[in-house]
Amino acid sequence: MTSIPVIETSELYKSYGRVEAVRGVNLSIKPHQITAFLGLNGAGKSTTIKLLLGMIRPNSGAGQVLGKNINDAADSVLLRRKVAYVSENKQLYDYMTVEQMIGFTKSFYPDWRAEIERKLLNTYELPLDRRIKSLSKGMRTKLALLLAFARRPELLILDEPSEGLDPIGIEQMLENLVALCSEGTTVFFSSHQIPEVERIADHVCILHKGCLALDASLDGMRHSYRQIDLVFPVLPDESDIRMPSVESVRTEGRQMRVVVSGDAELVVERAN
Amino acid sequence: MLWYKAWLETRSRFIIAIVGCTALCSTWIVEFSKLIPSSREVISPFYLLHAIHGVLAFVWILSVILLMMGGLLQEHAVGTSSFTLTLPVSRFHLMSVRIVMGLAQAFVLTVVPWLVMLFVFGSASKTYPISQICFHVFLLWSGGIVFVALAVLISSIVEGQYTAPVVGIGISVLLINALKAERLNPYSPWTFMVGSEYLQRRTGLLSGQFPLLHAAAFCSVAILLLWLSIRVIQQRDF
Repeated sequence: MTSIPVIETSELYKSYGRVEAVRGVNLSIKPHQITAFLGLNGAGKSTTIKLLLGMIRPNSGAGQVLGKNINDAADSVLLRRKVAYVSENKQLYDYMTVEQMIGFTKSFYPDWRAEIERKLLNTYELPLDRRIKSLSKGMRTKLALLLAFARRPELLILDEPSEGLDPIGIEQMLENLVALCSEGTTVFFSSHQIPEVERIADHVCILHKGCLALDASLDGMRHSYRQIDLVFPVLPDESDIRMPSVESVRTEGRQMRVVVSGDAELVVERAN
Repeated sequence: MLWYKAWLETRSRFIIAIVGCTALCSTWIVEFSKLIPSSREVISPFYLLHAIHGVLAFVWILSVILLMMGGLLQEHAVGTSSFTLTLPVSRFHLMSVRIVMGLAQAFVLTVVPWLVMLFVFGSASKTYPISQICFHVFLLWSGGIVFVALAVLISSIVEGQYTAPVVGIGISVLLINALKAERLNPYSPWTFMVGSEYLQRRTGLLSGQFPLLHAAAFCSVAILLLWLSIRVIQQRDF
């Protein structure tokens, strides 16, 4: 198994006028893993993904995806043969039917997996003859996922993939992601749904205000961080709880939520 | 399959345009034919065909502007560009397919109304030389591609499903009017498309050689505009 990063960026920077969307991001995503890309709205996740796919150009910095330069137009075309992407809005061509959309997408990928297409058509119950404009958001999301999963990608990039899906659809999607990863596809997905991330991710990258705030394995994070909810009859001052291992404190009513990076027992003792 | 996409994207507009142009021209021929016998002046029926060609030219410009709307910028407005741009094809390829499809549709939109006009004209026991149809089609298409290219450029700069066609039609009307002055008239693609300078008023027929050099000049302008459109799209962030 190769350990050359599938995605590697160096000081990637992108601004829109005075707004700095991505500020010097250094990513290194290992192959055959599921990496969750987290961050608040406006943190720069979608911009970073668009930079990786060559949809937008960085102001400075460099990046490689599957060994191809993201700044080079010719490289970008080669790269897109091996990458599948599901965008945040999941918009597809309204004037096509589901069947036409599948046929159209299939024509670009010689490695198209017909068995995945059949399986997902069946699982997702997508009506072949329906126009895309008449599909619900959930159905459109399922179709976008089918188009991405069936093209046998080396790298699968998903931007908020579960948005618009019902709980069963989310469950099916997560299963499919794990199955694809076990077959050798690297998955890189952005999400706001922590339970999804906890269930399937091997690695987590957190973007905050355009900067990479955290790049760690999920196991490592579980080992290193604890969240403690403390309830008091009378809320103490935040400074009473603060100690070097306390990463953050949030209070709500008489409850205090504390994230601890070291020994949690010490914080509980102090709270007592 | 990009051709298939380009066709599906434009087919409704194309069919409406071709039916509209054909119906309009045919109706005018029928109506004009009724007027000829009652006219005090001797009007050549060929002259009437040429006059209808002028109407066709104007409707043709409006049609090609609407036909050439679309492309990546419009896709960006409706949200599908993020799918199109992840297909393994270059932006140049995407643009080229769209442009060639547009030029082909514009050509059909030139030829079909003329063929139908010939048929309607012929059904009234009148014949019209094929060479005259070729001349009119040549003028209309080779001058008209400037408007095709202008529409592509506007659709590559102006975002919005409705804003872009309004701007396209506005700029075309401005261009037609701005080049109406006698000094500027030789540079007007509209004047060239209508072909009045080649018309013999007595016979109502176009005369002279095909103005190949003039047509080549308009083709060059169109190529320049199309190249500019491709560059704009290649440089743009989506």
